[in-house]
Amino acid sequence: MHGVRVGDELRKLLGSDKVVTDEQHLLAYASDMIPESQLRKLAGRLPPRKPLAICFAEDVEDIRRVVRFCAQERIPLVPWGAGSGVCGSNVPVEDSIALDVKRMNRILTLVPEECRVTVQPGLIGEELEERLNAQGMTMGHFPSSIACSTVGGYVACRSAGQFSSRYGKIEDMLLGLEVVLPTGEIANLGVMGDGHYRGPLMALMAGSEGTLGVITKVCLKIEPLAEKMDFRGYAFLDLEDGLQCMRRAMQSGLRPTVLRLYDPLDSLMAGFHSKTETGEDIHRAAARFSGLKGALASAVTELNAKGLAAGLFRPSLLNRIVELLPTRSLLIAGVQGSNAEVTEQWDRFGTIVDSVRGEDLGPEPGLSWYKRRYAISYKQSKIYQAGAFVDTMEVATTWENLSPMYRAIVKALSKHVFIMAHFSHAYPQGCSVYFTFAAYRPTARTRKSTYQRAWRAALEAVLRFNGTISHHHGVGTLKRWAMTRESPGGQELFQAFKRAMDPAGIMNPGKIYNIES
Amino acid sequence: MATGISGARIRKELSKHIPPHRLSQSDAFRLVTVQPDNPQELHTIVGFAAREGVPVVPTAHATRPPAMESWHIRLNFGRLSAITDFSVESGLVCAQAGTRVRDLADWLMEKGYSLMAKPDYGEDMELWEFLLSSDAGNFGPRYGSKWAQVFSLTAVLPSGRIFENSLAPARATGPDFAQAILLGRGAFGIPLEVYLKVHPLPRRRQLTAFAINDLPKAADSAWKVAEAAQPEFMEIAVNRVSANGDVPSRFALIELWGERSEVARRKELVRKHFGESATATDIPYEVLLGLENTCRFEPDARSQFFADRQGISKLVEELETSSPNPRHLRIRGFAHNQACVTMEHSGDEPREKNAHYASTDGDWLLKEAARQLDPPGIFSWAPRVWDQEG
Repeated sequence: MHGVRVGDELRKLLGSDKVVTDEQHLLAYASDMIPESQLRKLAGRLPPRKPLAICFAEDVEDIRRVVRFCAQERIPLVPWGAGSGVCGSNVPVEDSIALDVKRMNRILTLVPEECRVTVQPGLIGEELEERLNAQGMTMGHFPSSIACSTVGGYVACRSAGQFSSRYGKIEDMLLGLEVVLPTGEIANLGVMGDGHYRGPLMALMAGSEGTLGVITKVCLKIEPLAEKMDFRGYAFLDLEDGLQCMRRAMQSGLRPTVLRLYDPLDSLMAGFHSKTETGEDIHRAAARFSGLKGALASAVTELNAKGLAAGLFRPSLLNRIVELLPTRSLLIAGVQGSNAEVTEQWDRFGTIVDSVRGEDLGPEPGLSWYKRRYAISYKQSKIYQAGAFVDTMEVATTWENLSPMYRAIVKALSKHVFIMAHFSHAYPQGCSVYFTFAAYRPTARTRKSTYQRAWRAALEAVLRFNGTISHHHGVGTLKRWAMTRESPGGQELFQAFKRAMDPAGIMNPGKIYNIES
Repeated sequence: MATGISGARIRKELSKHIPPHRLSQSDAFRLVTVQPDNPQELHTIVGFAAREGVPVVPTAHATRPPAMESWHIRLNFGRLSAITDFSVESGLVCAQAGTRVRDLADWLMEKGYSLMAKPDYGEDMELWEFLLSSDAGNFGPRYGSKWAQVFSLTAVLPSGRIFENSLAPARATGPDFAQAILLGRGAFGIPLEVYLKVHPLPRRRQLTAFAINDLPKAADSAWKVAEAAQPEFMEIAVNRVSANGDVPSRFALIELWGERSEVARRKELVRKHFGESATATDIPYEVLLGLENTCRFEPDARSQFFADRQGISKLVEELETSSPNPRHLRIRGFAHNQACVTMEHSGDEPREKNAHYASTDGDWLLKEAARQLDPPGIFSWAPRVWDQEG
């Protein structure tokens, strides 16, 4: 069906104020925040596809109308929250419709005494958190995108927040869902269902990235706000000691609010300019590497365009220099509870830190991180403006495999890109590693090929260790090539559920698995 | 499902891949029993069954297989019962489907570790049975449901394909198919090998019973206790079968692990949140231990289901007004806003009485998905997820 006719039909269904088809809007919905789209913009190219129309649903009936229309006309439908995903879950396919749910942004029920809240899917995380805080409650979910991401998006992509070691991932908070299925029917799951039971459908809908239905209500577990939150920093001569500290803490039964260990370079990036073990200032130590000092300092600490171009053009050299720097790893830790509980947790944590030769740096590094915890993502545009690229990758595995996997990924990536990492989202059994990588290439073609080679090399290393290729960003289109290797047999299950739930094959095709609808 | 295939043909085909001493045939029961040795053999057996439309039924001591009209294959996991990995560093153990949970627990105990969920009755269940059954697992408040203890899963799908997921503490790689397999009760796949979370045995373990003074209030307070104190085990019981005269007819059993100060702090939280609804008793430890280790209900006399906070409130209120039915009640595995309820009814009460507490969420979708995944329906024996277990 032609775009103009689609727009007209949708306006008849929903009303003209809920449908837009102008070029600017369509371009805005032609991609989410996947860095590939930034690379395309750098090259001065338009997105390859944009939707035929954008619908702004205001209630579940609007969504049902759009879904039924798409099923009847066999038009692909891409659900949209805030579009902050970085893996391409919202990238449109040919002749598709974008269904934006941000107007569905109300809190429907809030029952503090039962520790639960039910919200519409388009509610921005930060707004929900502020409104819960006003009632003395918290969701405990603090992704760095909290200001520009929606609750529906969290569930659709199995998001994690910075305090996940205390509160868990979004699926751990999920009590119930209302979903409009691709046939237009409504499924009530978990506490919204008649049986109040978290059956297989809940496990399927969380993480389905819009491929199995449109989330229209979310019921989440919430908790009373902590009486007190406290943060501290710790330094470790060896990254391995820091990892041991995290592991022992998680396995001791402690549930820290946050545990976040930066590798040496990321420690620098996080503003950790402490002395080295020899008492030497890190910048002075770096200065010993004459001729490259400027490139390093500019590239890794100031992020200016000239420094990036000079520093990131030879990532392998830069990575090697960083390896030689006599720096330490910074661990940010946080605990919460009553005054007595906080004291008791710090005592227990301090004993663990001592057992692995860590140094307590006091509260300043922790508080400094807490204040700037959402700031880092905003540095990315500077890097793109300078003609470089930057991306992040969050993978996870067991404690046993963690360090070898980290080193294998660093090795695989270091010839392509400049790389740093931090370890966060810790569990008693394992942990996630969050890599940030960047490179400068002078042409669009070489930028793209370097970017793709870097991703492939990194995920190949993850798969060799049987780790997961995504801890909390999702799969989208970016990582789907690796899915059949991450989870053999998963595609067969996905196709079966997809055929059962979405017989017309309209829901967000081509995401998670690279299969035809 | 009716297939025209004969037992002799099934046996002949399987014998191309399986040594004869691991195959047996019963004409009386129209079954061929196979003892697979590894996932590759499962792939071959189930793949053959899928092509020929032959039902596949795993069996073990605690499972009563359904009566089958046609020839079928019975899987005996006796040779798939090894503990294949144990990592103290990662707090994980890997065991094959046929491992008896009791053996696994004993093996771990010798090494100073415990499973973070354990079978509630019939500890002689094999691992695959434990995971696919409706059994609650007992450590809910602290560690989550028994399904949450599955770190990684290998399973055979109805096509014969082997499903595996990555070795990671959490993922965002699409829907959680491992959980779907487990919650699908065998319709979507049968576990072959499982990584389970384990916990070091504690230095101190305290069992405490609280006599319940007000059942509806205590049942409601239990959620706050679960949230605040996170006991390793918590059960609300009415007329527990194994309770003797020392034990109140209505009690809450709480188990706490950890250092002395930690246990004392958490016990105080339990007291605080139960408030007046339940009061601590000084029942001897041996009696409490006896209670914890005698959780059996006669399978024919019970109904077991999951319910959320509201469902349990409703149930308890009904119980107060409809005594003496049920005769016995246990609520445990409080995790993630749901708990497992086991009730024993008086003989003349229809078991369907409680069906409205059980799940029917999306049954038709799951059935359709099972049809898509398993067109001949060779695994269709397994899922009692759509039916109330009798």
